[in-house]
Amino acid sequence: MKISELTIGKMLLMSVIIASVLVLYGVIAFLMQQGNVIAYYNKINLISGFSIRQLFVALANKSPFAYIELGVLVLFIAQIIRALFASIIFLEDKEVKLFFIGFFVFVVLFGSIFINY
Amino acid sequence: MTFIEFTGILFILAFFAGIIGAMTGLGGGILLVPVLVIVFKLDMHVAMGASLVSVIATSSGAGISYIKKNLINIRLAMFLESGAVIGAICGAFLLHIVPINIIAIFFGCVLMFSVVFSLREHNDKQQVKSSHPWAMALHLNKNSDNKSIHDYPISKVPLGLMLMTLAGTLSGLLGIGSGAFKVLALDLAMGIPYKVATSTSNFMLGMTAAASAGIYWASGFINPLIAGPVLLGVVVGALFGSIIFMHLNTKILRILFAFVVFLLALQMIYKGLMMTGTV
Repeated sequence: MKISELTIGKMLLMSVIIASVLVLYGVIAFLMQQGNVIAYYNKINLISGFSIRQLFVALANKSPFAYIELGVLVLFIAQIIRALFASIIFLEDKEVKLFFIGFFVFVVLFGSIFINY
Repeated sequence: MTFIEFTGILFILAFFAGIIGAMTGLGGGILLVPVLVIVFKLDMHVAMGASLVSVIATSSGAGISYIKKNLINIRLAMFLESGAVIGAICGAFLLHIVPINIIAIFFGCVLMFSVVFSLREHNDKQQVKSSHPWAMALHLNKNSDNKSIHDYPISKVPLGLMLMTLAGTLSGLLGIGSGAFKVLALDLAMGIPYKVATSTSNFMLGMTAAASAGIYWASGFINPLIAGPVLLGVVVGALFGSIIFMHLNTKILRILFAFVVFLLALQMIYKGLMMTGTV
């Protein structure tokens, strides 16, 4: 299958749908579990997110926060895949210089997301 | 205020941030950060984390229709993004060496002048007939079917790459999306049609923001209770914004861009003055 610009568009659409469903589920699950327990919004400052490693443990424990963060992570990863798809397009078009440029962007993005894993 | 009320307000705010972000190519942080910090008294870093999520969500949401309409020049975007990511890494390394307050004030002033120039430039833009040799060598006007769908000249490519590297450095130093610099570089320096400049900047923004996402994530600044409503609101807003964008003429978009960048410049100068202790 040839990857084109439209494939990137379809991938973005999928990632937006998956991310939105996960985040919506997480927010609703949080409200069902906790209700309006955070009565004052300024206490939100005290809440800290999971690291990527902790995220998978939290998912196993069905934490609502984990679903929200997974949704955000899906969108982050979509940016990396976007760079990868672009470099594949350049490779298919035999644009070697552009392929190396695109692949460099992909490697930097991949490294920056998972460097703190 | 209860959590449900807070979530509702945040969703509406993010919705408008998404609309403006998608239409101007700036992401949505400019609207979110001041409201979260000044009105809701949230921690600056948590607000920046939310801004990062909003930039990525805007880029993804708006990117869907911009790609469909062939508005994004992906070859040019990826080429320039290589400079932006190098800049972002340099910015992160320079963070503890250079005086950030002075840089923030200086670039705030540069942005203000650029806004004036951007509005004036619309009338007396030079007619560039042919593309820069780099653009021709890298076939930056073609798409994946090797068709010249982008039938406009791409000039001053080295200058554009240099400006994108600078934009990336600022992004790493000041924790901003630097969409304003990207649109200005594409529009004013490289002479790309305004709508293409805005949508190509939007495409690049998500990747630049993702480069700093790891650090924010590891530091615990992606707060799920803020990131959740922001993501949902911005995605819906960006989808609407991209539809409105198609129907608005360039003049109105330029004025909107100038207004939002003016606010951003004020924000940067204020941030710089805060750091020096003047304010």
